[in-house]
Amino acid sequence: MNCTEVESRLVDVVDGRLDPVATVRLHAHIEGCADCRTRAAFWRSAVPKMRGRAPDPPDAMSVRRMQVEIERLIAAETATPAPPVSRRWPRLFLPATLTLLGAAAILLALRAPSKPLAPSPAADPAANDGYATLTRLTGTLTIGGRAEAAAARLPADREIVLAAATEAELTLDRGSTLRINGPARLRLGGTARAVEVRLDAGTLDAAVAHRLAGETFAVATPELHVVVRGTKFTVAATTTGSSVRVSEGRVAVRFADGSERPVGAGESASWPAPAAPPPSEAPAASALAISPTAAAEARPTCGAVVRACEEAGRAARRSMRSGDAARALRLIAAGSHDARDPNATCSSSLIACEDELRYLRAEAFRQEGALDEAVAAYHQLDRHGAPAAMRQNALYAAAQIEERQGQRVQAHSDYERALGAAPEGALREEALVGSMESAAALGDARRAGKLARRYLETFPGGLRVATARRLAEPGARP
Amino acid sequence: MSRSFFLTFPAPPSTSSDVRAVSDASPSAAPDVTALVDRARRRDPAAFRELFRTYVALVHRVVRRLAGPAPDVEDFVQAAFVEAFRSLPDFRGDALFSTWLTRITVRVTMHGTRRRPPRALPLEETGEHANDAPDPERIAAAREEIAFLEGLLAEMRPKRRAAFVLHVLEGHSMEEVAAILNASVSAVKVRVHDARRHIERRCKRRPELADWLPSGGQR
Repeated sequence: MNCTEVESRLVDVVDGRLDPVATVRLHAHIEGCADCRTRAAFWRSAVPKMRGRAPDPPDAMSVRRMQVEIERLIAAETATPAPPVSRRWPRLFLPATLTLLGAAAILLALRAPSKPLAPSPAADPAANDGYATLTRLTGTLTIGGRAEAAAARLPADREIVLAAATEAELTLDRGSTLRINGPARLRLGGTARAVEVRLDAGTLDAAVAHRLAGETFAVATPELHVVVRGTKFTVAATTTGSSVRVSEGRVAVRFADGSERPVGAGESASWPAPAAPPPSEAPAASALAISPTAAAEARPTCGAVVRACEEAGRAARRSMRSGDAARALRLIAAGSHDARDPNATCSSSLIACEDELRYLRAEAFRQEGALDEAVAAYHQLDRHGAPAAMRQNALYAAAQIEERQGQRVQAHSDYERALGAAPEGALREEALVGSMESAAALGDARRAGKLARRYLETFPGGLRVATARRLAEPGARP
Repeated sequence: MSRSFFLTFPAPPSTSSDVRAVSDASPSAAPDVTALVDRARRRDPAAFRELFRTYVALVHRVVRRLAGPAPDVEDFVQAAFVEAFRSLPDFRGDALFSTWLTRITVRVTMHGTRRRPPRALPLEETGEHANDAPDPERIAAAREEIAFLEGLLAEMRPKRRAAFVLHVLEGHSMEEVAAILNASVSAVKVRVHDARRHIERRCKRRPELADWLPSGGQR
């Protein structure tokens, strides 16, 4: 064994990896070589000390944070659309299947008089039955040329026309109401759980009832796409453009150029109609998405957009770790702008990253102390299609803030929704404790007892076992 | 002298409480890793969680030693686990799960730090790693040693640093390091050799690190 070989084995000796023969040879060399002896003595001493100076393991909060984040990222990946064809599907049948599907699509397109609002009636037969009732009518309201009377059930995906000076009130199945002033033209698309109203002309006042997790409510005009976050707002579509005015709560408005911004209570936003658009460029009556503008030239690729989004997320996270939440918010805003889907073809690959930015935005608001904004941002993540783990994290965080602010009812509601969003999520124990304790704080002994029994059953060694036992007892007072 | 060295060579890490080698990353109290991996392959969230809890200390330590006290350490840890969970179907079980996970961790971290300029490590940045001992002098000494070690690692080229961290600090064999780094064994030997030489040179200039040197002041 020469000096080079001895040196390459020094750590193996420390770790006991050398076989007896090699050990004897190594020591024989060391006894006769002063340099190797010195070097071996140094590393024999230094290796354990270096290893003993390992960085501390992450603390419990860091571990928790990382676990939640990993679970969220995995859930986001799982939530992206799966390949349409199973891997086990015989490749032989794939071309034939695609050909058949293509032929069916062409036939459907030829038969359809106009493009329906998504989701199509064919995909969701219940949607065609409608989800709105005409509860009040002053004037004339027609569908397909036929006049409707009060109490009529209004079908989905049909053009509803209100004559001048007509006032109509529509009550939707989930409790929301729409008041429309004629002259107006609109369509009720989507379903009761995913309302998508297309307002081509006229004024619409919406009072949106409380939506459950996963329910959405959107109103689109040729120039605006309003996604409801709050409760009361007015949308107007005229020949000169569209506008939205929010009375209560908050909406997210996407403009004709693709930009998006929230509009809060007392605020309004508008967008002018394009000047003398050629007929071929007029927005399709059925398209909810805002028509693209001429500024779409030189669009970035999907990959570039996703990379920009991810980089914005990393930069924002770094800023937050260094305590600069304001900078993080600026980075997120810029990143959200840069990450806009250039042509609506890479939306599936952007979903996870956009969710990431939304989540970071909420966290940044909280870090900055803008708690109301943080709660609103967390609530925005509680939407249809969002990864369950992310929804749970967001709702739990919102509930904690609300609890600290003394908003017990809202806190309890969000704890319950956090629990329901991901019953097996990383924060299930915390959400269950929050639900149980907030129910007790509200004086709901029955609910608190039920949750306490569930807690004892699920987490027999949990930290809140004593509280749960007390609340689980029959007749226990919260 | 030589006899003394022969007799006092330390026992393998399994009997040495001072040594934190890679073996402690797969604690004996951990559940059956093979079963966990099988469950995780079937996308069982509880298995993901258990694997994470079992190996987070290992992954964090490797990332921390490769990346230094950077603000994105947690990002690398998360990315490593996400990448590992995503790649579980490719894990054939030829190596230990911890070795396979380390390979992913090293790749993710080295990729993430590739374009980052090296930087000196101010002593105060190491405050979070203070020893738990109540003795303030010992805490201060530990901080200084950690800062020195971090500084030494930060001076090395990434590949050299990775080889040194994995072999000397994490206790992987040269063959394992070669597999982790996707390099030849001879290349790994050269990198570890160069790293050791660098550290020996730097230690000579630091008399305050006498505690690291063998007793009797051989150096």
